[in-house]
Amino acid sequence: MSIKRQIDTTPSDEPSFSWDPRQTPKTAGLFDARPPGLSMNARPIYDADLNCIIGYQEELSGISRLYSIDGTVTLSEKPLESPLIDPFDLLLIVGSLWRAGLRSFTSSGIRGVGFSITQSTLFGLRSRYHALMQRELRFAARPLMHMQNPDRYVPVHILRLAIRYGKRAPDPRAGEGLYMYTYPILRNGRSYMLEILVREKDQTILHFVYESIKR
Amino acid sequence: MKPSIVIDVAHTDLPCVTTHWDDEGSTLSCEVDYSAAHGAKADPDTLSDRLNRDFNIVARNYVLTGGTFSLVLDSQKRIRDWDIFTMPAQWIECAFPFIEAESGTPHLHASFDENGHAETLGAPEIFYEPNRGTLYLSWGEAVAWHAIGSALALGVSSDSRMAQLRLDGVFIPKRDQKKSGF
Repeated sequence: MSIKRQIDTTPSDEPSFSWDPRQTPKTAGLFDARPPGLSMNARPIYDADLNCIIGYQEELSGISRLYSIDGTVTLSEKPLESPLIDPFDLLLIVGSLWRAGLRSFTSSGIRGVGFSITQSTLFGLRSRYHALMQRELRFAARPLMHMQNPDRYVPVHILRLAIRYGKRAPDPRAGEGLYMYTYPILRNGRSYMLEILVREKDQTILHFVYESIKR
Repeated sequence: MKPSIVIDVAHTDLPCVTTHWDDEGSTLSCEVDYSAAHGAKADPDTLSDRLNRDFNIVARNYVLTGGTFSLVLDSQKRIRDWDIFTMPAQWIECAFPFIEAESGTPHLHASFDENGHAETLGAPEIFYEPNRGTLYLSWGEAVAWHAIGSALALGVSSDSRMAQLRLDGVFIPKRDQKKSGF
């Protein structure tokens, strides 16, 4: 049986699209792209109000060292209240409904303990997250569809961090001006390698996918 | 490890397959709709459906990846959609004989992690037979074919693993010189 037909093609008058954060899938899970050089002992600080990791905390000699998600800001302060950290507490959680020492699970099902930091420190960590979110990043049609699919979605700030920190290489399959960025990420605590193909002249993502890291 | 495949009892009605080429994004995509094939009616929204939606309880899907290829399986591990970022100029022209596919619903089984991802398949080789417009995504030699839709078929290796995906009727307009190379 022979099939002769023309496949649908996308009109090419719209080269890229912006992402509407209101389209974020509800069941996407928790993503983490740790800044290079950050100690593995540093625990992620999860903001329950923003539903994402906004920084990291490491305690050395009684001093709590805090890092923003992009690793560019380092703050040091003694914790306001130092909860007894259990090794099974994978996250330190801040947010309007969380109090220091309160143990529970996030919406992604990850166990954490309520963490207390000053309002100014929280503002500083959140501002770095918002800065990453506000920079223009555009998507080709198919990657934009993936952003609405919980099985393929990756938060925009994680894509941004991967482009900032990732290994950049010209894509051998494509024309000039296209670069593949690769960077390790975590989703719900499991390791993956995130690959992003970017058309750099207009900061458009043409393809992204995260793959299991072979052990 | 490439996913192994278990073939269900054949169905007479094939699912509806929609293929799409995004010229700006150089992405070929394909979606499979099983509802027509299995005679599913639009059931009224049950209380269970509403509760699941309210509590964000959704049926688990599964993801297979390899290079710029990614494929999503539904909760029954049937192919739901796939896409690949690809440059048609780099497809390897071939003259493979067209082998008719048997009807059936392939279910792909692999070792999936708790996020529904399997180990990478590796990037496929892409072959194109221009007379019929048949595209082959190949991870190995296929000894049997199973039709997923009228235009889409899955090639299975001798050890019952996914070896190839075959998409028929792919005729992509030549790109303007201005657009090539971005």
